[in-house]
Amino acid sequence: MEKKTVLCVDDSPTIRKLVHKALEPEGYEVVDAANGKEALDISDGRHIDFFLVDVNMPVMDGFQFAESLKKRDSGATVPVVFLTTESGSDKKQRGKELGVRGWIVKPFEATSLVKLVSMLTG
Amino acid sequence: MRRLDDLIKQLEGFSEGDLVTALEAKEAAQTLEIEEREHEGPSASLFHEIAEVMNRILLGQEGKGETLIASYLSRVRELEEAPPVGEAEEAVSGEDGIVIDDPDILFSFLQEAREHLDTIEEDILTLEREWSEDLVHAIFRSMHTIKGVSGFIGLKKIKQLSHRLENLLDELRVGTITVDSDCIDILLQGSDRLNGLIGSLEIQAAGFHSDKGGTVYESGADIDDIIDKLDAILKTNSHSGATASQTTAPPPEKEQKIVEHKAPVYDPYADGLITPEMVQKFVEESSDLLDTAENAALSLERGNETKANIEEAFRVIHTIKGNAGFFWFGTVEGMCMAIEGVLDALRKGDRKVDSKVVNLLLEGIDNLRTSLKQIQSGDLKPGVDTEHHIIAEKAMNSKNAGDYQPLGDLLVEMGVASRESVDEALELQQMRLGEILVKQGKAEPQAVEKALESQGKPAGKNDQFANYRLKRKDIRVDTERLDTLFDLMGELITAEAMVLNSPDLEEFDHPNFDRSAAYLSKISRELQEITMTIRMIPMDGLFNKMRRLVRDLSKKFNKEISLVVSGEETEMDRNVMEEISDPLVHIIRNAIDHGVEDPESRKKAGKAEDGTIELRARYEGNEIWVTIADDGGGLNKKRILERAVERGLVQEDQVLSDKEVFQLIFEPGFSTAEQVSEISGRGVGMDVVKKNLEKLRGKIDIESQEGKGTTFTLKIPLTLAIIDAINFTVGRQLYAIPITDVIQFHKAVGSELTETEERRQIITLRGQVLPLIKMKEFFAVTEGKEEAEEGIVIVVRSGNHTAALLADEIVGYRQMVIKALPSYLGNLRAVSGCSIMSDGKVSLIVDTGALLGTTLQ
Repeated sequence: MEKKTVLCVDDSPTIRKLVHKALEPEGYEVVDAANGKEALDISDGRHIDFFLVDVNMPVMDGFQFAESLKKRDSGATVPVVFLTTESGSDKKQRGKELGVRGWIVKPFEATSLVKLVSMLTG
Repeated sequence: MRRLDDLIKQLEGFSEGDLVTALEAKEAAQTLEIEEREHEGPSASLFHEIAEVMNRILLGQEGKGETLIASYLSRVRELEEAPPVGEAEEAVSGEDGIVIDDPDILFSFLQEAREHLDTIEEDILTLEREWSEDLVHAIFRSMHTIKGVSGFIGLKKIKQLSHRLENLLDELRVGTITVDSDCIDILLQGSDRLNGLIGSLEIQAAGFHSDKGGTVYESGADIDDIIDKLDAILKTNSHSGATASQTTAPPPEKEQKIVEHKAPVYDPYADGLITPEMVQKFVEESSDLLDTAENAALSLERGNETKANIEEAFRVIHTIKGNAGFFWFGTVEGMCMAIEGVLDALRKGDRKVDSKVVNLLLEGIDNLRTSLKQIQSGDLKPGVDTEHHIIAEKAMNSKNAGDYQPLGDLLVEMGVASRESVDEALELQQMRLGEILVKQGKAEPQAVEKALESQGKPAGKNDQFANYRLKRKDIRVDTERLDTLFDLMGELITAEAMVLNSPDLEEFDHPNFDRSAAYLSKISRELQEITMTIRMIPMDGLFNKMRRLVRDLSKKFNKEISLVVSGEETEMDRNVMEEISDPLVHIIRNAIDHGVEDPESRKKAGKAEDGTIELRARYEGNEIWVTIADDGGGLNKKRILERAVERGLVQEDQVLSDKEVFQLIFEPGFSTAEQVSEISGRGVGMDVVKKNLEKLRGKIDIESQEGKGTTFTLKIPLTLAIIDAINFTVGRQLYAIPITDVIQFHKAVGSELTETEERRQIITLRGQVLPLIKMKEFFAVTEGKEEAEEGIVIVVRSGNHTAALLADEIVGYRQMVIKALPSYLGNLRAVSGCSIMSDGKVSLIVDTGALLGTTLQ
């Protein structure tokens, strides 16, 4: 089976490392982006199976990213999940409107993340 | 029924979109279902149902998750006889060790947190001066990251504190709390405390013996006080709105924010989101990427790894395109798009790689380079309003290369556009530019025609290579390498002097050699100057630290003091800057503690209640002068004198100038009783300040007017290692004196000399009476001239003292590499170092300040 690619969009290098640590041993390829803008560039012309996106980021935040991705033909079908510490319901609602499939509240358990990614990309 | 409890808890915690909870709930339901089946319980179907619903939620097929869950929750609760027991709130205790099994993650966090905290502090201080929504956002984001990551690692204190600070910032963000000085205080205290916690972890982590990690403890630092304060602020403000006290900035207008967000065209430049530095970085990065693309294109031509090379070129061009778009450089974006089109065609096999295609690619890359250069020089500007400019550039770029138009050709060749439409577009672009200029009356129609014509002419060959001259602003260099370079530079100067002044050459007349030697000297001097500037960095970092210091201390002493800073762009040797940091801190502390009076006294004295401290840096000849001026009470001359008499430093009837009185405060242990306070009495006295400066061959001057204020001026030589000096002999010994200290040379005659009562001599030069210091006596050399008329008089000045030195003979003017005195020489009076001469002799370098200081007192 071909490797699934997860794009981890987070401005914190530490969080990105944690995501790599959780997903790579499980056979996922994890690609990094430090903000939404970078993520858009990377995912343009490259197949991504899953977007794991932080909400608060410089340059382009999670919402703006989801919005831009939604506008893109190929992007609309790939699951976007927010990885965030924000749990306000207004933010969740806004995410939902943008087609975000859900969120994982930090800190997450590595095993939960793996299961989630496998379900949503399966 | 532990598992049932779990399920209930998960269902309770669920809200729409919460994937992890959903996942856990599903797992709990599945486990329960299996258990129920095994025990043939009645609820198996309910759990099965829940698991199914959760699955659909996870896959995004279920819309009304929350309502469904609510109904399940009540049904599950019915099954549960005992009410679920809630877990006690996570206790925060720094005493528990945190097991780190992956030190890499911890290191990464610590480094990241440090970076964030560094910028946070600066941002908070800026925020105090000037409200900025962006700044609050930036601080919030940093704090948010620290909170998030510390949570993962299990650093509870850091998480708790950053969480509270984040909440405060959030309130600032929405405007329920205004930025007042209390708020700034608590933010600074909070980030200080976080810094402390991080620092302690860094030390512990450094002690890990292997990459297997270990256990760390969040330091014993108590954060409860800050947490309490933060909670208090949050509690009082979140409902009742802003407190009005000491408001330094207006709260952000809500409506205004909405307008901003809805603005049709968002301009990151206007927002300050994009800085010139970022653009510079973009240019540099893109330039590197272009090199990669160029290499890839050249490899294509050689038939190497075709696919990988196309992909690589595509990727880098794509990156440049993306960045250019972000920075609003439409021209570059468009060019990249065209090149991408070509590469895409190659990738898909629609077009075969041949030399023509490679030529086109290279041409495109060259054009991009030209544009980058224009961006760097400011000729190509970003933004919405520069459309005309961009069009002009486009026209130029496509015409520039002479007999063919790469962009248009590329487009036509790839079938992206027809030849006609490209020509039409180009013509349109030129027309529009011309039209605009003519319309604005800025150009005559004929002139525009002519310009357009010449645009099409082939550019000179050299221009092609002009593109490679992209300036880079910075590179990282290991400081060890720099130190080696410095040392070698010193050796070179010495070696050069050895060669040029070699006694072997003395007997010969050698004009050719002299010419070459002069050329060599010129080069080595330039080389030395460049080497010196490498380690120079602007002083703004140091000055920023002082901002914080003034702020904190003025709070502590309940004085309103503003710091006025200028010349922070002045560059100074990095090592020197580290050395003057402590003296600077000490002087500023003194100024705040003893200099500036409390508001009450200031008012009485008819001054503004708020005090001012000025911190200035500027170049002054071969020196950098750093001035710290306060508008406080000035030095108390009477008190200083009293103290000096008590200590036996001066005679009671001795008459001293102001300057001499002020210099007394540099005497070791000199301090008036009142001067010792918690802040100023921290071990460093003014004597240490002076010593530190003397180590740098620097000086310190004081000016003070009672009731008006005090000004300290630190005079620091620009460079440490090499000085220009005058060499002279006393007996057989060579001495050198920095040329900046020398005023004139003089051959004394008898009529100018007078003997004073203490058997000292003075010399009268141009009406000025100067003490004569005989070098032979001072340095206690066995040989040497004793009569002024036999030797040569060197008039020198240091600080406020001027004196005449009697030397045997002037040898010449040299550049000298200063070396520390060998330890076997002990501590020589008024000698700051030595230098090795071309013939191997040692020249002692005279410390003019110390010389005059010791003899004239």
